[in-house]
Amino acid sequence: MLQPLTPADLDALKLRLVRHLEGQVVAPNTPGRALKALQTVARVLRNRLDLPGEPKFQSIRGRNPTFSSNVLAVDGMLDVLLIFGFSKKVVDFEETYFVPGATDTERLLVQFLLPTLPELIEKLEAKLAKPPPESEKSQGSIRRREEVLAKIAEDRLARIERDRRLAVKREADRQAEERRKQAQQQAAERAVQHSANPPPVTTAAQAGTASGGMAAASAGADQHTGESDAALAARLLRRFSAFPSGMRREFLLLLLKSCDPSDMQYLGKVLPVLHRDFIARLPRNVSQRILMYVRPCDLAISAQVSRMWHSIVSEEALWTRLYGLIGLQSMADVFFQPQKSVKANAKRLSSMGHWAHGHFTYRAFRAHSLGVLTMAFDSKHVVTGSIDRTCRVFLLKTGQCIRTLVGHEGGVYAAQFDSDKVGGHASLL
Amino acid sequence: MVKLSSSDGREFVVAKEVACQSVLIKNMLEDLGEDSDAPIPLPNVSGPVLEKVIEYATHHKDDAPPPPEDDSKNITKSSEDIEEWDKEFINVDQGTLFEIILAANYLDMKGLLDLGCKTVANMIKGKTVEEIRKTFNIVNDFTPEEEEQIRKENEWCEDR
Repeated sequence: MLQPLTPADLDALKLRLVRHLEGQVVAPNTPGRALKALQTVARVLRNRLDLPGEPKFQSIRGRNPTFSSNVLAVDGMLDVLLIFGFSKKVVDFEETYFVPGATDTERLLVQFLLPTLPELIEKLEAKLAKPPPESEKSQGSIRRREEVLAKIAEDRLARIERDRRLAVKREADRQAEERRKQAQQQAAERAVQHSANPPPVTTAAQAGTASGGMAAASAGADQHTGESDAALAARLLRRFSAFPSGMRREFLLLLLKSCDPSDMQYLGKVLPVLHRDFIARLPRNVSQRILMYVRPCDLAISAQVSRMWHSIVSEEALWTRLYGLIGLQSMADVFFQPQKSVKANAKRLSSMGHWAHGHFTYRAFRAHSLGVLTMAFDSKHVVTGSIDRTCRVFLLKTGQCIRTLVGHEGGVYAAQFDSDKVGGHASLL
Repeated sequence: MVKLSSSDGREFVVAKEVACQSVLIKNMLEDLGEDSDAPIPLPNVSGPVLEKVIEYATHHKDDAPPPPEDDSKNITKSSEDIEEWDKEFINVDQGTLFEIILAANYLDMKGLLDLGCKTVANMIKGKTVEEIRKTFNIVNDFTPEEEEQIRKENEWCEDR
């Protein structure tokens, strides 16, 4: 709907908005009313920008009570909406205002214009917070200040416009001058040529057309020398993509060789634009496919790279596929715990993978003379309770028995670690 | 022979078994019937990228067709397992790699897609957070508090 906007257009639009806000919204309405209107519009636009996919922020019914009394009924606000790019349509027999933000252009425009609102809102709030003692007088002075501000803004706009016109004119003059000079030179050259070897009469017409063609060609070349650097660069770029590949490379090399150190420094700085954020920018199924090739520890690292990476690595669908990789897809919803950190999940996946692939060490040791009835672990120890009426505490790493606890009159059926006591101090039930 | 037309209007003529490495093209050919002369439009693949893709497909035209998609059996887990020719083929800048992966995904060429994914995985593996950001030119958009929190949660200290 909106045409692409140039920076000059944007500036002009912002100026229009600021003048309109000060002249047509703040001046005729009471500060409180204007404040409320601006706050509402700012909130609506901000919501739309922050949550572009949320349907309830995309449009507002004209009969919406807050919107109609706070915004539509306030003098001058309709135009503010139009400047921001709101559009009015009738949907289901109701006037509906569509909040701009559906296209990149609209978003750009809103992002550019939106900061004017909070500034004004702050001013209004300040005005409301400290009502001046002689309100009439200060009202007058504020009015005067606004007039002055509007005048300054107007002047600035006019000046920008004048400068632009001047620049255009100067450029045109310069080009015309250049052309005239070239034409003179051409004419002189031709005269010399003609007098040096006058062509036979029969081919004069031909020669005439030929030299005419040449003149046209050189006039074309003149235009090139007269054209702006930007136009030349654009033309070169178009031509460059049509070069044969050998020539392209040679040209690039030559271009690099003609760079000075500061150019090279700049190049070093911008070369990162040649990088790609694969995980964030590829379709999700492809990013997941990539992450299926990294190890669990790399997943925990990846979760710390950026918000986007964190959210991709935390997605349940990825973990379902990861568990599928070790043949435990059906158990993925049990094993994957979204409320826990990526690391905790990665560790679990890692050990599950070890089990599934048979990568674990196994050690047997004789613990009790009779059957083992219960076991409990902490990070370093295992405690067993046996029908032989004893408990034993072993070091997990070595399997060494460090304590034998006796005293129960029957078999020990349950063992548990107290939360804040460790190892051998386990309180046994 | 099959004619393929890239997004920028370039036409490529390739052998049928080369073109049919792409499941998308294979299905299209089946739908179109044998004797269709019209070029197959590939609006999502640019000329230079299609050239690379055809190079890959030509080299792999005699490979056994890949088994049907199934995560658990299909993915050969190790990303290091890339043959020499492929390694050389995929040794390109990130922009080209990105385009090749997109094209392989669109054209449904499992071998090439896996090659691309393995290559990116290898760029991630064993790196620190900061190294990954540098590799892909990613801006750290966490607030300092969030970062601290996430770092604490996800610090991986043992059995790397």
